[in-house]
Amino acid sequence: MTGPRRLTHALAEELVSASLTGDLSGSEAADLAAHLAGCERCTATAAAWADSRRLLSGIRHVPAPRDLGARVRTGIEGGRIVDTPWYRRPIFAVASVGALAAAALVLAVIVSLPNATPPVASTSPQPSGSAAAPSATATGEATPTAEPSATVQPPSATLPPDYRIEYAFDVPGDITQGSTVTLIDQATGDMVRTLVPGQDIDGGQPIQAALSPDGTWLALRVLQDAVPREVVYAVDLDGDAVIELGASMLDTFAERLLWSPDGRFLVTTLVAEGSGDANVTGFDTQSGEVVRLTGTGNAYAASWESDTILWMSLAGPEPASYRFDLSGGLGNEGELGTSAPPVPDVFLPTLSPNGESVIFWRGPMAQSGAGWTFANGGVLNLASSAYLDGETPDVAPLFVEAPGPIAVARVAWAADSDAYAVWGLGYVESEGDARSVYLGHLSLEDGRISQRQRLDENDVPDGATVIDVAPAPDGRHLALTVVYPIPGDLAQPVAELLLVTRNFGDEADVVQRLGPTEIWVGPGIYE
Amino acid sequence: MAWTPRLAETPRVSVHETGVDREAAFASLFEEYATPIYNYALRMVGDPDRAADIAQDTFIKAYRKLDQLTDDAAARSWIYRIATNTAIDDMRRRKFTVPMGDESRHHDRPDLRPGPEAQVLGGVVDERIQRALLRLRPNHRQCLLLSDVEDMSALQIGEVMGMSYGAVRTLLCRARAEMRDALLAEGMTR
Repeated sequence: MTGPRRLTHALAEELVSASLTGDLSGSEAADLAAHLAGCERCTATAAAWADSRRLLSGIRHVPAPRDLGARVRTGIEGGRIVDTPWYRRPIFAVASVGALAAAALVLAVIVSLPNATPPVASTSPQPSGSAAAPSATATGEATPTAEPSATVQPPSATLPPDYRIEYAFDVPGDITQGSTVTLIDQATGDMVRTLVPGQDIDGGQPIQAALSPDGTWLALRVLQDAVPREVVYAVDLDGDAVIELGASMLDTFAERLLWSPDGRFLVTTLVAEGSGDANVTGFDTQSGEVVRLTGTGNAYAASWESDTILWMSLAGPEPASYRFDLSGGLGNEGELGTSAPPVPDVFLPTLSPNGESVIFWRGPMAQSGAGWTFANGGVLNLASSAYLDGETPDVAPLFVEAPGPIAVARVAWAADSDAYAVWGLGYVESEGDARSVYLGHLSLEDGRISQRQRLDENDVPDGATVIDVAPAPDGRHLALTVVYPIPGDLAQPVAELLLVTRNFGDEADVVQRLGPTEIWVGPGIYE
Repeated sequence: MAWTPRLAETPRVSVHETGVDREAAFASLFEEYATPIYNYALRMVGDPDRAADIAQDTFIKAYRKLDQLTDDAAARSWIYRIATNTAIDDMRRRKFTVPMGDESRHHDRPDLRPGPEAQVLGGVVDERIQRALLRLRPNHRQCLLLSDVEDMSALQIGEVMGMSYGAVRTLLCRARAEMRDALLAEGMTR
């Protein structure tokens, strides 16, 4: 027979806490009693916590407002609320309401940069050598951008010669009722696919798209604002198939549409309506299967390491990430497993395309109305991917000096695995920074983000919110999709695509504006 | 590690499907939980008007999701979960609008001013307890209220907050430590 376990103070305190709610097992109670018998500190803690519980349990309830029932009834009948999380309301909810009057909307563009020649506008100064080749300028030549004003080109209906739009979505009519979505090859003007609401897809507003690396499938996220929920589809561009992966509540960290590098698998995170459970769902283009890969209720798709190795994260007070091998396919629902050890305190690792670097979140999380958030702020970190294997302790906060605890941010790597963009920042304790975009380079200085990496103040027009950023592999260009708040429900939503040529030092960035005669809701993608 | 499906294995018994009149079921739910949910929201946000809004939104959401209610035994956890999420959303939305650089709102710095809730409740509950509660981190406040005011077990709290049993025990321990400090600052505990 074994005696009581020897407890640390920390474990004893946890047992003291559990004892107050009757959540102790018999052996735990014995362990605790033995510890308390010889520990004044924990005995004092136990007494103090018992006092605290007694005080709280003695709080008297006050009556609910007399009109609460009437208010609830009015709300039920009048549609007082939508369950849209706070961090999603400024953009999409508003845009889709205003879209009632839309006649012809271009919703998504995919932009390719066919060569490495920087597309500099004719009226702009030539870029400095240091900025043109960031990998060769790790000497710290870049100086803080004082307050340059961006060289903004007038709105244009045509693209600069070095850019080419490959696809666009043409969505005529009332998109909140469900309009036909037409995918157009911009080079030829040919209609590639037409998606009919009620037939191919549910009605709603396409808000996000991701082309598979082999160009044969398109992942499409459609917002049904009235519910609200999002539905994710995979559209076969060479055939007729439109595959529904499922519906999801709106969630900050469930926005990733992740194609495997070979284009075989699409994975995304879906947050169940009602329960708020977040799970990863996958689609196999070879078998046509859609499989919910996880059943934990707190799982998020993070990024692909290779054609078959997928990183997923479990949200929670102590989040962790796991590596999964999908070489055998998606398997059966909820049966995906891994023998790989968890990587603690890593959430949503976003690997660079070459797999050598990783950006990830750290910090305790809490479940909100839908999905999980960093309730007290998270920290974005930058490390060598060896960190995920425990091979190096070197890790640093991505921001040299963050304005505050970060609640939400979006990250995208350029294809060169050197440049990356960070945008969509929201802070726990302060207003979000919807206009700021940072373009970092691993090869510049220590590779992290400081104010030097912030795009010029005037690159993004006043009142605009950046919703999508695609950094080019040359490290100097970005495609920004911005939308504007709508003054009234009946106003036409306005959005545009900005093609930014980044300059450093005293030279202002060059911005080419496409629009704002039409809606452009990303993504802009450089290949 | 093997991940096991959870949702798919949980049969859902819908109130609507069992033939119980939807309106009657909701009326019963409201009658039983209107005051507890209002008080829970009040302790969470410390403001009667906001608490009323949260309670209102909680029941509107509950009405819309009534079909998802598994059974009567689950109703309490279910409605508190909706209220918890609604309160979190409310708090986060309000934090989101605080201007940057306002040091008075730094999360490590307690607001020592008597809150509006304290003014309203003066003479009914101890103002200092509520003030101590409002100093806690929101998730600490939630689990402490669910534990010590609502008398829920760690398992029930986990159902409300969407956390595992072990995670709740850890969180509750931290919350008690923080509450002890907060009460000490009010001169209310040893």
